[in-house]
Amino acid sequence: MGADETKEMVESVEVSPRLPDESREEQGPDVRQLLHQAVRVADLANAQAMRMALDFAKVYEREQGVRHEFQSQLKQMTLMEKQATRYAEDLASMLRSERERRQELERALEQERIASEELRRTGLQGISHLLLAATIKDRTTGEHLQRVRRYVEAIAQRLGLPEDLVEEFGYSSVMHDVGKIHTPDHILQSEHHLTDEQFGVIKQHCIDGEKMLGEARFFETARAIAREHHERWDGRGYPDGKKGQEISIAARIVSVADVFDALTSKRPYKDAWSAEAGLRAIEKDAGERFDPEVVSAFVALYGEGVVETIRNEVAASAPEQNGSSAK
Amino acid sequence: MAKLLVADDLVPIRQMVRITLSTQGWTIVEAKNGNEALDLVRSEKPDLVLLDVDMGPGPNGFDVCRQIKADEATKDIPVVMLTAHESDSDRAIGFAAGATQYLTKPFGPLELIDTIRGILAHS
Repeated sequence: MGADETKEMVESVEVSPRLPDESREEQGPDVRQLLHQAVRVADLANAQAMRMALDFAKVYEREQGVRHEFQSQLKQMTLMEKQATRYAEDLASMLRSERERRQELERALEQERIASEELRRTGLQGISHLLLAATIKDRTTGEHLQRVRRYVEAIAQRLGLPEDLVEEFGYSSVMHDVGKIHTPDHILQSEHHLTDEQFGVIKQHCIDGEKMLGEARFFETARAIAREHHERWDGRGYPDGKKGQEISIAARIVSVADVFDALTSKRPYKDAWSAEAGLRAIEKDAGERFDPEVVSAFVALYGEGVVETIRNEVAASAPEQNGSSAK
Repeated sequence: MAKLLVADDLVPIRQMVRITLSTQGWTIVEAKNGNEALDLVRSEKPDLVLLDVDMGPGPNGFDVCRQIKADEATKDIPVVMLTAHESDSDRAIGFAAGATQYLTKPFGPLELIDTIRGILAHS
């Protein structure tokens, strides 16, 4: 609002008292002068009041605007606050249900783990029974299986395989000859050279063994070992003529352990070789019959006295020929 | 992958919607007022439009919805109103303008995702 406008408004407000009329003139010029002065003061006061009122109006107007702005921002903030709260609540409940689901899964997993551990234990127990049964029937076989198992575990460990595989290779090696249950005793214990036909029957024990070990995951390695422990690194073994890495590492290890123990044990058709002679024979066949890496691991173990220790321990732990069944 | 347009004058709301919907692998285009929304609907041809009602100067969300539905090129794009106007009469206005769904603020992330997923699956 401009200054002129203000003046106009001031003039429109009539506050000046009426000037005294002529008849009162005898009251003298002093009174007149005083009155004029009073009127001027009154006008000034009026203008001042107007000016202040206008300023207040302006301030008020501005205040209103600020307040409006503030209110709309407040509204937005309230909305955002509600929105954020709602989101937080939803997310919290999502997290909660997620956590519950995870816990449920973990519980199920734990049960699964317990069940599979139980299965593994049962399997291992079955194998110890198998070993015991073999030992009771004939001590030679039982001790052979025990030594082979210990050699296999030692070699696997030496090759740097993880602990669970070492254990699995060990227990699986015990069953490498289960297929022989179908092989007639007169062939197994023959002191003479086998005919081609008889050799064919011998070969069959690898295939039978794999079949006998069924489908369970627990016997997966055992099946591979049963099938492949007579394969040769150079491919001239049986029953499939697999070569090199085609043969599972478990079977390659069992092959070395099995042959070494056969050489150093007494058989119907031969005397027991010395450990030294057995080792030399194994070394000679590295890269032909055996995986050279497995052979060097075995040679290293021999050098460290591990092979000797195993031989002694198995001999000491073997049950007495008489009274073993009484235990 | 679906492309969605979000029109809202408030930055935090747009951010919330963007973050929420991006978890579903959807692409998000943002508009901060009615005019921008209309431009983007025509140029980007989104699979779905989320509209606030009060977006400052320019056409409000209802107006934008009406214009989307009036244009032959964009009339099949589903529109979801997303507003603090929660009265029944406002809902009626929204649906009359052609909105497919009407969500009120505050909205939850799951509610938003489920609604959009339902509409996208349908179309």
